[in-house]
Amino acid sequence: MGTLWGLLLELRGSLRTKKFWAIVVILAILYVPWIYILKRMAVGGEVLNQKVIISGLLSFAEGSGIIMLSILALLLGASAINSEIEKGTLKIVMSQPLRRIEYLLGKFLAHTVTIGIALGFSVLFLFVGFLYIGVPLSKGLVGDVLLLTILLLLTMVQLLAIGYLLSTLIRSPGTSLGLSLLVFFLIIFVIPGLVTFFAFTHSSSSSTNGKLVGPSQLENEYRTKYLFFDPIAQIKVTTSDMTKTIYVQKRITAVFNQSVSPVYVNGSVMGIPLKGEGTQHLVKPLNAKVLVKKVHYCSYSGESSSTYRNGLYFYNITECMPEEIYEGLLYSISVHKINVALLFAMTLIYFGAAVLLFQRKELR
Amino acid sequence: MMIRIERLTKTYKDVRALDNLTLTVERGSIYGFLGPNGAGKSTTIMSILGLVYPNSGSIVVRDVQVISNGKLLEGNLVEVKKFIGYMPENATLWDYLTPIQTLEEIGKAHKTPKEEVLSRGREILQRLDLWNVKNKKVGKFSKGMKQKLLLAQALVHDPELLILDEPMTGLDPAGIATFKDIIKEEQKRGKTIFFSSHILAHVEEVCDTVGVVVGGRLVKEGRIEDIKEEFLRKGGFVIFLETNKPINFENPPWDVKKVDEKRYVIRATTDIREDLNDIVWSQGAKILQLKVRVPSLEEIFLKMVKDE
Repeated sequence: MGTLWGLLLELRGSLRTKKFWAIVVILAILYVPWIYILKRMAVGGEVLNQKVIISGLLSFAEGSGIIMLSILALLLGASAINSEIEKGTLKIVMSQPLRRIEYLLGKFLAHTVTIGIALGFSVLFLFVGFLYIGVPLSKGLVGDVLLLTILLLLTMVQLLAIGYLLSTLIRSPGTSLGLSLLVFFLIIFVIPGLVTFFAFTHSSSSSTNGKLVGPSQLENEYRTKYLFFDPIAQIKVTTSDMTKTIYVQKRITAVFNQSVSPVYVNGSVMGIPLKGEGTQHLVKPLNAKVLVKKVHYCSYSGESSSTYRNGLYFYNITECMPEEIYEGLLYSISVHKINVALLFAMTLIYFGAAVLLFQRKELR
Repeated sequence: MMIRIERLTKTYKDVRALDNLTLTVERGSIYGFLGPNGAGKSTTIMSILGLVYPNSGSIVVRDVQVISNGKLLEGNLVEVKKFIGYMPENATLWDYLTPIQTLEEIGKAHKTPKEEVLSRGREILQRLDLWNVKNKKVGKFSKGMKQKLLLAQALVHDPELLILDEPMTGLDPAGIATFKDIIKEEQKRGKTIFFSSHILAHVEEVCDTVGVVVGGRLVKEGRIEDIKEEFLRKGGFVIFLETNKPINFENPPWDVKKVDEKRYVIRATTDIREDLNDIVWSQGAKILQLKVRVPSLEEIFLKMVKDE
């Protein structure tokens, strides 16, 4: 009950302040540059499919977007409690019939809702932008954008919790705001930079289970292991595998009345029509069968054999190719469940620590 | 009784703010909690509300144990806070709310019906001269107006117990008079008022009981007349006497100090003007000047502080 009161009080308060509307405006124009880039790409003749849009959006959101979002969330949290102690409003609040934890939770949820509303505006503007440049809002696209927004919200909520921790730990709002900027630089630039550096220097020599590990894989591994406390590192890992590599084996058996050679169309023999020997013309087979099968791994890329019997040419062609399939964010999240779990768990830990500190705090 | 504080001790780092403080506030009384700045008044009040955590001691409010052996019982405190209106010292309310909105928020926290909040709020704001600014944001208020609104928010849910920390600082004389009227009326309606002040004049007219706290300890507690009387007995009257020739005070029962041959400062526990008159006349002298100063509570208070 006290939580709800605190939530509504803070929310009503937030909606009445200029700070909130400043956040809304900043987040609303968050994707505007990206829409502009997309428009230029469309003019340049690029096909704007879901993969192009989402991966571009992601690199934008995780680049300049997240810098803005992080600063906002940290600053919002870093003065949440100590400024209320300084102003004295917390004395009034805590003389109402409610528990301390109820109020802190309510306030935190209100800030979460505030950020959620602001992010909602940014998504709204993004969709308007899509319509403006003529990108159809397919189910997959909308789903990915919403998932990305939820991930961004989770990241911001964790940063908010870090801010809350600072604001219960440090008495002066000025100091905690300054410190939150330091935290920001550390978790956005300094520490991830170090981890990336080590991932790249170690990757050439490192291997696990006999399989060679590429630098980006090792980077993800290091980010999970050493940057578990850093929500931005976690969101980067979580969104790093939107495409899935599958291995497709195609087995073609075809019968011709003349000798032919296989034609690879776009790297595939799926074209079936095989070229007649010595001619440029395609020859239709008398009979052809194609078997497509997903396999675990390709140990070869292709082989073919032919036999001549009773005036007919029998061809057996087997091909195995890795294929990159765009699976979207949900797939990437399912691959990196641990990192999503880390996002939740660390938020709980940060907020829990803030609650413990607040519970013991003297509100003088 | 409404509030019972027993052996409350609180140390901030190495400063002892409260030292075995014990006091009782009776139901339906106006209790003036007096002491110089830094004596521990606010710490005591904030301990009752669970804002600071005492090291030891216990607090019972409305027969509910709030602090037991220095341990806060938060569940009990939440119950008790339903009946308390608290006005903190040096606090501001939400800048972005108007007085009406502020009172509505407090009403919501106490689950007071909205119509009640509005009618009572209107009455209080009118009395405190805030009705004409009821739709103005508090951020634009002057200090005095903010102070009045702080009082209003403590009253709006019609609490049984008012705990007011330095309620009169920052108020103009008219505001102080209104404040005194309001708390007297609240008392008539059966409420208990516990308020702190470092200015005795503020307390003198309204309080039934006074507790004087110095250095974290309650040095005096009782009816205001009793405290005044006790001090007078200790030597409260200061008399300045000037005569036309030297007077010989033979073993006087009072403390007589000579300023010069014909001028004296005499301290006594009672009004001794007649006695002095007799002595002067009996020695064939004349009184040129006689000044008597009855001490204000301020002085009584200062003396108590000094004694401590």
